[in-house]
Amino acid sequence: MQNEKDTVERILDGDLNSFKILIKQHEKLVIGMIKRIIKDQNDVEDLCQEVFVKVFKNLNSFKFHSKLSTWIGQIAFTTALNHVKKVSGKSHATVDIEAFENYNQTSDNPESLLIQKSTSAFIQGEVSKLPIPYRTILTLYHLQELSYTEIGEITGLPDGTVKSYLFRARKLLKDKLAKHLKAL
Amino acid sequence: MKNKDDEVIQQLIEAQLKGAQPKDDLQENLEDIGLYELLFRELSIETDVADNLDIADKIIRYISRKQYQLESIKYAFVIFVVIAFFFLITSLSIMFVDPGFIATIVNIATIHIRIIFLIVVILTIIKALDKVLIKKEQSVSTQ
Repeated sequence: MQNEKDTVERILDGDLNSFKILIKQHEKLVIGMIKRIIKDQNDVEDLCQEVFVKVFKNLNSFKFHSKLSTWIGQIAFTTALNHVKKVSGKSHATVDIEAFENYNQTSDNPESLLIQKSTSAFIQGEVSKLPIPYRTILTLYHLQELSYTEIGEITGLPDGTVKSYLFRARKLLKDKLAKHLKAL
Repeated sequence: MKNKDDEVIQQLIEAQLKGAQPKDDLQENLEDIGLYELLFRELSIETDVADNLDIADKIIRYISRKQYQLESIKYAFVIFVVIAFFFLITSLSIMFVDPGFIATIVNIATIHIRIIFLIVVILTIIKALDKVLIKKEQSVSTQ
């Protein structure tokens, strides 16, 4: 935490080199989240830049009530959701609940199963079809190795909901994986 | 019951990944355990990593550019305020103090035009040197 405080103080004093280091430390988290949330991958770079510019502009308001990575993750999550809302014209919650209900009922056609022979490709494909909160939580838990509390701070969800979404998402994927492997 | 088993299996695998000893409680769920283990492995693999996105330099350049624009605006604003203040004082002096004041100012300007020209040139040189030497040094140190 002291290291973070020193870095933030140097950036607020105008040290852009320290800010560049901060970007390098957190770009994987930001890029990973944004790639998971938005559909059009051409917008990833622009959105990542937007996130870090927001981080720079609002750094003086960061009071160390959480980890710096959690705060940056929050900004990335909100920015990505706003982008999705702007592009789709709907709130992500509405879109995602409908998609989630259809997702559970839709069966894959045999052709697409044959095409997606690679288990890795299949799983990644299925993850991208999950509702935004589910795939965000999966990314933050498995790739970024964040705790339930940290994930809850980033997504604005209670710890219990994070845990519940995580278990449900994995169960859905497991069921899909079982069908996929049986069809091969 | 099935949901409960799935939850238990996931918790067991999570615990194992954190270093706990594997348990043999769910022998009848070996297929599900295998599927979850495969899933956990795949979920923790990064597929497209951010190798090709070199955003740090772009962001720093963008911020530097914005800071420079802001400083230029502030500098222009200060010059404007100084000139406006000068004209305001002159106008007020003409209206309320001495109508012949403007003639005095014009005389001073005519007499000391070389000094005024020199001051303007020096300020311009300082500004240019600041841009070339100091800001260039700052942009080199951030690379």
